Amino acid sequence: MNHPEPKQHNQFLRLYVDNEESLRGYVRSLLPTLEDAREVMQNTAAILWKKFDQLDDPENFRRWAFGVARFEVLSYRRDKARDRHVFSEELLMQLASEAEKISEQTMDEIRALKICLNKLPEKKKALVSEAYSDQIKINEIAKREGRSAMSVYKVLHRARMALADCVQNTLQAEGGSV
Amino acid sequence: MKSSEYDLELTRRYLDGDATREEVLELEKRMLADPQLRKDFLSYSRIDASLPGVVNDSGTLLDYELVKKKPQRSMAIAAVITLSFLLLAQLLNRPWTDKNRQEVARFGKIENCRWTNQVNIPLSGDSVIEGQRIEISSGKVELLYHNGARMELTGPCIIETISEKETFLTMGTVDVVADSFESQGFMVRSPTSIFEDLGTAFSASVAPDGLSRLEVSDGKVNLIVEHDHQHQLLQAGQTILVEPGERKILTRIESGDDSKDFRFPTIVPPNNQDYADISQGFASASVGRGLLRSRPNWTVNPKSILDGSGQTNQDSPQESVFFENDVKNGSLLIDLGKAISIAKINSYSWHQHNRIPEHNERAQQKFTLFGWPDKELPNLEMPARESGWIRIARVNSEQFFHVKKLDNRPSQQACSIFASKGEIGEYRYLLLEVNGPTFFGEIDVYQAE
Repeated sequence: MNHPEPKQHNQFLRLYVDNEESLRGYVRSLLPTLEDAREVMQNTAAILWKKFDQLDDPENFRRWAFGVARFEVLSYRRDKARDRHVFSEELLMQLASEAEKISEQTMDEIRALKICLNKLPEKKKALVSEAYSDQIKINEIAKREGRSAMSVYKVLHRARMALADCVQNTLQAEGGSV
Repeated sequence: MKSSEYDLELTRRYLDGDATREEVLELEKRMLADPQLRKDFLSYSRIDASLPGVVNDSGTLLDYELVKKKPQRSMAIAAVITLSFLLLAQLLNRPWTDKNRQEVARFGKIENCRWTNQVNIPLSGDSVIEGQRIEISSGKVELLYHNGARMELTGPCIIETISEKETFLTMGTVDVVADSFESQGFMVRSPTSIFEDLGTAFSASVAPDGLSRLEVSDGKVNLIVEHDHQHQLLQAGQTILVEPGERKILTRIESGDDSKDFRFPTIVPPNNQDYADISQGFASASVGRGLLRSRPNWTVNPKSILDGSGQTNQDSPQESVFFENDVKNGSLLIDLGKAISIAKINSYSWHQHNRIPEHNERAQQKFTLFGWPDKELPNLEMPARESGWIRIARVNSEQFFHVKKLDNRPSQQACSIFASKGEIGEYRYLLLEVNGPTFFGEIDVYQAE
């Protein structure tokens, strides 16, 4: 799409924004690091934008976007397979179908995650907030706290597990399928 | 999570990028055999994906939890009312629900705006608080910061205010005027970079794919791509593009002095000391796809782009490299002889018809630059993006110079492509997929030290 009409641009933006979080969760679950996921998300957005005029029905945007994202993940995996440790295509395809099924509940998960984050002990919550704020590196936190980077990773690991459990319990309590 | 500690630790190591090859294989074997581990893996990775967005937007729902726990009947009624109010307010993203967030600005002029969230439409004078996301699909919105900075959003645009001095631009264009003492240091973050105001006016935009653009109209702006790289200081009239991706590639385009010396504000003139210069004996240039201009008495020689100099006059086809008029998406190939680490690539063009002033469209530079590291080349007949070439940068000087009329395009142009930190990458071949009738005078490839 070289010269998009403003109407198309607006429509794209609305559809993309509506589905962005679900797509991000989907892509992240298929790639080794947050950086990888960011790069694939950018490529995916670029392709969706470029080919948006080929989409017949906006109702199909979500399905189409997940298809494009899946293809981009596989192509990224092939590029990185030479120098990085990544899953095989067989496992990726299996994870992709399972991740796609649960992507509908992304917004509920995010809402529950906000609640759960606030339930973490203050120190742990502060660490998670810092680690994910994109401005401070783990090494910097470790240096400041006078501990090893590995021990910070471990604390984060436990926090993420606690958050995952809490999100599942919250959604179950609300009667959603988990 | 029901999986074993060991499996979850493997999951963590994989998602933090710490896993060895053996650990990845082990985790994969276990995941293929165990649906519960796959389920836990997905839960864990989805938490990891959502946290960056959530940590900047938490708080009000804590109140919701506290309200729910109160047992007395009268209190319960109050709680229901409060809860409804809080939930409604949360839905509408109203600032008065949040005790922790500061008001950082107020809405100024709002012109023909279409808001993505149609439930609650802000009015001029309404508060803008820390962490507030503002999304418009068309029109213009002005934000008046308390420190004196003014920001105008042009739809479609998505921003998030981080603080009084910082805003994240997800997509679209914002124009910033931050010329007061208090507003100095105002920053616009994009997915690839940070634009830091130094008492000035600038425009920043982000395309849907993350390509960021900074244009300084007054004063100076500091461009920070990565914290540990050398900052780029941009002055009035200068523009720079930052490509998304693992390596942040910057593109600078400038107009020259229209002389055979090819003088530009910051980009060096054509050079015969670069690695790809013919005189060095390492590199060669040829056509990847398409036909170069050919006439009975002369034919364009692709090697001219590596001869160390640009054209000697403003309308010199014999000294230029360009395609036949009917060629769309032709490509030029530079073989560097072996894979080298590249620090910078500069391209130069010049064209101005001798008698017709508005005839200078061959000065424009519109191309995509790709790299390939191995000796064996991909199929050159296919579009580079589809045959595995690695995209380095996209150049469009027409967009860069806001060319709307034929005669407001600079006749002499230079484009410099470089990495924010270290080198662009290690490549044996470079491919320019050209989209336009450009008269290329020279391409210089500088090896990293």
